[in-house]
Amino acid sequence: MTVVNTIRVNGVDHEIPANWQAKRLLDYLRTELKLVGVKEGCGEGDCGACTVLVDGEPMCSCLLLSGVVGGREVTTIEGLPREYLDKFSSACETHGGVQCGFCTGGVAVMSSWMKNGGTETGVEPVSKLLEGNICRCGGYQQLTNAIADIN
Amino acid sequence: MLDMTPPKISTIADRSTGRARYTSDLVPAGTTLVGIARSPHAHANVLSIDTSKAMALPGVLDVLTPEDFSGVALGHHIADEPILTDRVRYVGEGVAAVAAVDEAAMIAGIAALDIEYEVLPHAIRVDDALALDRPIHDNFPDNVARRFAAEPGDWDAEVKRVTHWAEGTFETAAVPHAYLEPRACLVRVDGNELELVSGTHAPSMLADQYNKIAAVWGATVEVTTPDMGGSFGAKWEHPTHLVCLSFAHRLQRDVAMVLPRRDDMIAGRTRIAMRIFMRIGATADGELVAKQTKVWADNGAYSLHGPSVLLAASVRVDNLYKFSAVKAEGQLIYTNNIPSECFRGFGIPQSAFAQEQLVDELARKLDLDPVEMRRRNAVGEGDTSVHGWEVTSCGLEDCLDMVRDRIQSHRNDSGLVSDGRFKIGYGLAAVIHCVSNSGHDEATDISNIIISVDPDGTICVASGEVELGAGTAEVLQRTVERELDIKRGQFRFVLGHTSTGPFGRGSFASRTSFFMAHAAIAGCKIFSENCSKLVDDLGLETNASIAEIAKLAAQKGHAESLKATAQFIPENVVAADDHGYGNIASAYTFAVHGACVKVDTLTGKTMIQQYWAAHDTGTVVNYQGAVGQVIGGVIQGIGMALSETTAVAENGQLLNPGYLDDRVPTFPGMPNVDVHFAATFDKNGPMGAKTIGEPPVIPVVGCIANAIYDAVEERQYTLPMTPEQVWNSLNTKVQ
Amino acid sequence: MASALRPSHLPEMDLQCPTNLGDVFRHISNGAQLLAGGTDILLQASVRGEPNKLVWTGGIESMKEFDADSDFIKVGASVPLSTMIKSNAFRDGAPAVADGAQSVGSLQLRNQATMVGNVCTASPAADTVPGLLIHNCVVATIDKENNKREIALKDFLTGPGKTNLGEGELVTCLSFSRLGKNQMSAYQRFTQREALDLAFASVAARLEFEEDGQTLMTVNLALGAVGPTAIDASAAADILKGHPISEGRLDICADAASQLCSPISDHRASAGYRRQLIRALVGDVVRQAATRYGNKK
Repeated sequence: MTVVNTIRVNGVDHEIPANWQAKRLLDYLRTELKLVGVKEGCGEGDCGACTVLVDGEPMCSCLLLSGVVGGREVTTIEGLPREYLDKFSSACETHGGVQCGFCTGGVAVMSSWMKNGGTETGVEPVSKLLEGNICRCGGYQQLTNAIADIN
Repeated sequence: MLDMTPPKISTIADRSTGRARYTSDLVPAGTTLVGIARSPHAHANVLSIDTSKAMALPGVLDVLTPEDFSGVALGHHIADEPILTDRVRYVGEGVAAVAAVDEAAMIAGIAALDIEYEVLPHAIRVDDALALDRPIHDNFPDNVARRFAAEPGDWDAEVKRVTHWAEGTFETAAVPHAYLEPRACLVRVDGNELELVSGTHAPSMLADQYNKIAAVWGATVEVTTPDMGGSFGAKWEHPTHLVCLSFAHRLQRDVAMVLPRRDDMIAGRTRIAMRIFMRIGATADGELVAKQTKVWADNGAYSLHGPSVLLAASVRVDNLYKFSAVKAEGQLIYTNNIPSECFRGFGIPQSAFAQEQLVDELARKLDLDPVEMRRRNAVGEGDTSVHGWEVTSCGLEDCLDMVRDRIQSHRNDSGLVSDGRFKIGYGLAAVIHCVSNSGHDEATDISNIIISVDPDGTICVASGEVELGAGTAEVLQRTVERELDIKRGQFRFVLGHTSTGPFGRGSFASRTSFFMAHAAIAGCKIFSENCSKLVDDLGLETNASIAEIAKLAAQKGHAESLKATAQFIPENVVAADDHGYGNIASAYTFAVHGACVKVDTLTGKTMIQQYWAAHDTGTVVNYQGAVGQVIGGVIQGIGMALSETTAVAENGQLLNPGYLDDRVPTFPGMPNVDVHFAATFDKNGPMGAKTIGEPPVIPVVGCIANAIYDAVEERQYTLPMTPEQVWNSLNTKVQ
Repeated sequence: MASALRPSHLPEMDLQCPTNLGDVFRHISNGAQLLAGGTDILLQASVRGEPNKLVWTGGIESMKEFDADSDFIKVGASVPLSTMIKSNAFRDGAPAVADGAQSVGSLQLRNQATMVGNVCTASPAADTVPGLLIHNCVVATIDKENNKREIALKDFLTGPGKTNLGEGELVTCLSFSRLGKNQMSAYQRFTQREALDLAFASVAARLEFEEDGQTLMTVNLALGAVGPTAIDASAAADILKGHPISEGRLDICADAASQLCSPISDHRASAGYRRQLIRALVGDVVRQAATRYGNKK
């Protein structure tokens, strides 16, 4: 039996310490790797603030144990390309897409995934793809417009 | 000595790229963690707490019990909320607290506490509370925390002119604030110096209260507000702050507490649920003459801002129309529910739900167009309303025109028509709101600013207000840029930081931009004058910019001579009297909303097809920010209208403590919101501006209710207007 | 009653990540519970403090099988819902199951959650179950003695949160039938909120048309969230057989289906209202399936 304990986060390989194996990926990223752009809004997989890409697919890091992502590649908002983040933030500025900002990192990760061709069926609207991202400030329309504006 | 460097105020770019720092982001690994032992009972005496087993556990550092906070209570109007309680008044209330080296030890410590309760009869409905033979607070034997009454005008004489009445009894829900960042706090300590790092509306007010309490320990408290992940009225004084402050001081260790979502909602705050009886009388030709309101407000276990909210809910919406006589009374009733709190709109969405439906009903009875009905009866510039509000600018007419025109075009062009199953309806609702609320908390409404020069020559602008995510920082930046003719990067600013910033009332009551900008303009004027004086004194080139002068002043050791302090206190404003009368604000803002809905008569489900929001907010200083506030308010209003509520079991336990079941709005299913601003200028406003914070949420519930009525001809008396409720209204005649 | 509510943090966990089934069974016999996608079990652990011993099955190669091209679509216990949804062969072959899969949670959760997990949680409101029922789903299991069973899904689910899995037995895969010639299926649910919500009621329907493409030959109906487990309500659809779809017959069918269910009242919805939702959904789903069939032709 071989257990893979390495994880590549934002392009850098890390050995997951034994005491982190059975803890949430969210906590490992935030506490151990200090990637605090990943937020905990609910810890129940509802709000999407903790969204990260695992092997390129969006997942809630609050419902993943670090041990099960061994051998896989994780991208947090900190690992998104600078150029894309500049575009995203400038689109948010133009469209008023950011209020308190607590949900925005998760939306940025989703948006980057979509811009890279991410989809389930190829025909669903942006709002369906973002159903797992709650913005309590009510910025859905502004965020939708901002995302549409990123080329 | 604690390092009291204020946190950097984040920009939109910081918040959209993961660089903003919220409280939980500032907690270093290994910080001592605090947890609360919460009661499983809704109403009980705590007979004993045995902490010995918990204290003996490895990793448990300290335990606090009610005795440690004996005689200490929080409350804006009624100091009724203990820090840890020996009398439990809701499920989830804190009875004891544990500080431990990590989460596992903290959880084990809580589990090891032996707490003995004497369970008491409880009440989760206001009627049960009024009939409860055992009061929830011993000094309020009838469970009424506050009564309110007002009767301006000659009621008996005026009602004789009434030919048509519309009336109803309306019920609203205890909606959780459900801000995305759960409650969190970090306390840093050095000897008797304590720094509370936590998102809040009013850091100076918290520091004032906490310093009084900490003085007994010989300690002082400063409050730092980092980035905040939403609040909407919830994040004020909180028992958990004092628990953490106390632990930090006792242990001389930095401590932190970050609540899981579920705990945050169980032990949270909610909008005040109300039952409102209202009737409005009109003459046959459509004059609104008399209005009667009775409010039964569910205070929950503790009062917080409840008394102010009760007043606001009882009379504030009256000011929109030129009623000749009003009779209002309200009761704020203790129950064993989660403590209720102010929530964006301050009780007014609740009464607007009733009023705007009744005005709609009268218009229908009198065969008048609802727009004309409102136009004819609304207050305007120069008017003094029935409760003494002096209107200095009013864009209501423009707002009514905008919404009427958009609805008309939509009727013509959208192609939406009712069929056998799906019914289309249009509705509108109007609102008046005040910019701040003088006399709130019995304290002077004030905003302070300090403009100084750092040793490196950077200009520093410090305000006592905070950024809630609503755009306060942007308004301050733009104001300073304009007034001092300087650019971003040439100055820094400080918000919500009591150790280096001035006193501020805080960000709430739709007051922040108005008050802060006024103070900033005054401060910038003084700073400019100081600069001119320094230029003369030093014999500098007269065309040097403010930024250059500041640099020079720092280099030559004259920075102190540029320092400017200013404050804004509004003129001609009074605190409302006991009956809610008085010109409580410098300016009043107006809005009209319109909605098109499609109702599925087979399921009762309401689908909003299009929404229009026209606001009179005076000069728009930060357009994107203002649009964001309007759309965000509308979306929160839609949640309140159609889906959000707390479900409470008979034993007082919250059944929906999370986003899955409390049903805040999500990306799918939200309508397009078309936002307009009326072109108004208020002479009392900074740059002519008024306010935008709360108004967008207020009319939504009434607007959607009117649209549903237009679609299916059934009045909706209860919030949220769930599919089941609408379906029931179509299939059983209750009224 | 406990002295205090438990803070809703995840407890200290013991996690095992084996790569062969033997080790999985060994950990199960040591008291570990299965962790697949984890979207339900970790939530449950945060609230209740248990389970705190987990064995992850994502490392077992044989459970990653997904075959959407055969007559029986086969999906292993570790396959995330999104992997299935992305497959055209799956969406075309079992539209009602695909509709249900796409209704689960959110995109992020569908990248984690599995269909086997959705079935084994045995929630009355599970979104994939009604579709799986009308697609004749069979559940394959194995135990530590290597005994294998194949159980019809309708027999597998025995009540809310209950299945007839034996002690130490686990589900390896599900298989369900592809649509045959002249067949179409659909699933719809009613939620109060558009997304991220639990079904108050749900209906799956599979239609088989005569060669004329108009007359219904067979109709299978399954109802969700209106009984302890999903309900086979095909009997209510007898009235539709041998006729083209008509509003009158659909109404009778919808009424009959609403009589076959036994919903509960809770804080989400009352029993009576759930029955009404079944009435509304039956017509909607049958019409949707017929429209799909028409579009395909």
